[in-house]
Amino acid sequence: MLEGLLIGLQTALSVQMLAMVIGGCLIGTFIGMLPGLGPMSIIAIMIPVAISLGDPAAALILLAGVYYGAIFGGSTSSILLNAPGVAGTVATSFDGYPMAKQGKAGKALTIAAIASFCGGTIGAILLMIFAPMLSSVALLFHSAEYFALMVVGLSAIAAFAGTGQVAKAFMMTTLGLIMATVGEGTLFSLPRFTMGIMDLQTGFGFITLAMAMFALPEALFLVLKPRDNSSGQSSEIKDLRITRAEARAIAPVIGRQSVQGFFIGVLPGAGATIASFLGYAVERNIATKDEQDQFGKGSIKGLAAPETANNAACTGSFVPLLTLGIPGSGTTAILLGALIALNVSPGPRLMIDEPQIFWSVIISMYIGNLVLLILNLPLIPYIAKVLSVPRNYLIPFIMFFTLMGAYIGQNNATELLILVGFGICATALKFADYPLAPLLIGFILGGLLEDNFARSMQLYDGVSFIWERPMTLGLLLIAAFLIVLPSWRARRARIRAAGIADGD
Amino acid sequence: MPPLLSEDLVFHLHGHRLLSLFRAYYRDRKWLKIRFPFAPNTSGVWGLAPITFLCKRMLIMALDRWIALILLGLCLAYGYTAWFTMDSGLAPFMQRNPIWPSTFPKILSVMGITASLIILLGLEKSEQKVGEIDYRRLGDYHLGQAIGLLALMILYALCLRPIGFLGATGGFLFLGAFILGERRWIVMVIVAAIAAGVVWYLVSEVLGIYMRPLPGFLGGFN
Repeated sequence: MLEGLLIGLQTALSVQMLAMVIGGCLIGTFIGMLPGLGPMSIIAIMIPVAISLGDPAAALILLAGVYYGAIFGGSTSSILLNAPGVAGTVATSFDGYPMAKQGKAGKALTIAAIASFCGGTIGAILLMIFAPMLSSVALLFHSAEYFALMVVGLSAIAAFAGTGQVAKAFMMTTLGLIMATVGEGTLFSLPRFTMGIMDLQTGFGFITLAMAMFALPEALFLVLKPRDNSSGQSSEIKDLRITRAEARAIAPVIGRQSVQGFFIGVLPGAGATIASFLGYAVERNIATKDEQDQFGKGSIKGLAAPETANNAACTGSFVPLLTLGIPGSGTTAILLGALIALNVSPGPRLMIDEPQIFWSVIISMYIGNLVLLILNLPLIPYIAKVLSVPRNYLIPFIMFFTLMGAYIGQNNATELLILVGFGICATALKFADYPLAPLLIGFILGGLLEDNFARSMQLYDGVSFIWERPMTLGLLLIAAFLIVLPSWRARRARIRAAGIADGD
Repeated sequence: MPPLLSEDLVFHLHGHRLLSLFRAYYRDRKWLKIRFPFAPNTSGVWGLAPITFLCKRMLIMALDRWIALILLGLCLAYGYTAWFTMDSGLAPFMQRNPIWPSTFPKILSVMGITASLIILLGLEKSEQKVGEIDYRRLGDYHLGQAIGLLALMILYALCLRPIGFLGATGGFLFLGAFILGERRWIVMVIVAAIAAGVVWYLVSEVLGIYMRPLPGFLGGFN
C-alpha cells in the first residue's frame, strides 16, 4: 500500500495535477452553488473538457475535484438560501439554514467545511484499505459473476432509487439497457435497431444522454419555476471561526458518521442522499434530550452529521467503481462513461495495470478535501456572489454549455437535435416522477452487461452457467430479492395500515 | 358519498389492481357518467362495455401512465424487431453460436413490457404525489419561456454550421436572455459577444477542437 501511495503522490503532486484539483474544486463549488444544478449536471458538462485532456489520471482527478466542489457548493446554497441543489444536501439545510438565519452563516459554513473535510478524508482512508481487498476478491470473478454483479447493482439501484416506486425505476433501468443496444453490437458487429439512420450506427452518445437526462431538465425546471432567491441574500457571511467547545461537540459525530456514511456509500444505489438522511436521524436519536430539541433549530451536531455522511458516502461510492467497474450512483456512472471514453476500463485489474490512475485518484481525494478547506472556505464570501448573477443570463449559459458539451463530443449538429429531443422526453419523465439516474446507469452498464453475458453464454454453450456456478446463482438470487422485497414490504405495510386486507 | 372533485376521482381510480378492475368498472360507472356525460352508453352492448370503460379510464389517466403506455408501445415495437425480424439476415455460422445479437434484446423486451404493464395497470400501488412542478397546472409556470428556449436550442443546432460558431453562440445567448425577459440591450450584446469569443478561444485554441468561427463565405473553411 505504501508503494502505491508513493506512486500516487508522484502522479498527483505534479503541477498539472494540482492545478486540476484546484481548478476542479473551484469550478465545482461555483456551479454547485447555483440552486438546481446538481453534481451530475456539472460533471456531465465538464466531461468533454476532461476527455479532451487525453490523460485519464488528469481527467479523473479533474472530475473528482468537480464532484467534491459541487457537493460543497451544494451545501453552501442549502445553508445560505435553503435551496439545496442536490438531494444529498437537503438534510444539511435542516439545521444549516436556521443557523444562517440566526446570523451564524459563517460558522455554519465552517462547520460544514470541516465536517466535509473529515468525512472525505476518513472516507479516503477507508477506501484505501478496502478497495485493494475488494479488488483482490474481484480478481477471482468470472464473466458470469460480472454479469450477475451488474444485475445486482442495477436491481439495487432500481430498488433504492424509486422510493416506493420500484416498477418505475425498473422500467427506467430497462429503458436504459434498451437504449444501449442501439447501434453496432459487440457480437458480430451487426447494426441493431438503427432504423437505417446512419447517425445511430455508433449508438447514442453517452455525453448527449447524460446532458439530456440531467442538465437540460434541471435548466428547464429553473425556467419553469424560478426560485425565490431574495430571502437569503441579506445574511452576511462573517465570523468563520468556531470555538473549541463546539469542535469537541462535533468530533464524535464526525467520527461516527464518516464510517457509517462510507459504508452506505459503498452499497450500490444507496449513495449520499440516504447516507445524509440516515446520519441526521441516527445523530438525533442518540443525542441527549436537550440537544435533541436543538435539532432543526440550528444544532451544530445536526449540521455536522449529514455533511460528514454525505462526503464519506461520495468517497465510498468510488469503491465499486474502482474495484469492480460497476457504478453505484448516477455520478459514478458518468465517471465510468468518461473513463471508458478515455480507454480505461475500471475493474480489479485497474490497480495492477494502471496503479498510477488508482492511487492518484485517492491522493487527489486528500488534496481535494484540503483545497476545499483551505482555499474555498476563505473564498466563500466572494464565491457566494455568483448567487446574485441574474437568472436571465445564467439559464442561457447553462443551456449553451449543455449544447456545447454534446457538440464537442461528436462534432455533429445532429447530436444537438438528439439532445433537445431526449431533453424534452427526460423533462416529461421527470414531471411524472420517473427516476432518471437508473436510465443512465442502465445505458452505461448495458454494453458491459451484454458483453459479459455473451462471454459466459459462449463459454458454457448456453445459460447453464446460472446454476453451475454457485456464486452467480447466489448473486442473481440477491438481485431478484432486491426487486421483490420493497414491493412486498410496501404491500405488507399497506395491509397492516388498513387493518384488513384491502379489497380494491 | 361519491367523490366529485376530479382530483379525488383520479386518485380513486388509480388505486385499483388488475383483479378488481371489473369491480371498479361497476362501481365507477356512474361517476364516470358524471364526468363524461356525453360518452356513448354501452349498457345495451355488453361486449363493448369494458372497452368503453378502459377508454374512459384512459381519459383521466395521470401522466405517468400515459408515459407507461408510450413506453409499452416502444417495447412492443422493439420486441417485435428482436423476436421476428432481426434474425432473418443472420449468417449460418452465426446461428451456431449459443448467443445471437437478438438474444439480449429479446430478454429486455420482455422485461420492458412487464414493467410498463405493471405501471399502466397500477399493479404496484403508490400514493399520488405532486413533484416539484405540478404538471396538471403547467400553464401556471413559465411554459412559454421554456418552449421558446427549446425552440432556440433547435435553431442553434440548425444554424451552428451555416452561420459559424461566433454568430450562432452570440445570437443564442442574446436571444436566450431576451426570451427570459431581459431588456438591457447593451449589457446583453456585450455579455453575449464576450462569452462567445472567450468560449471559442478556449475550445478552439486551448482544447484544440476546431470550430468554424465565421460563416463559410467570410473565410471560415470546413
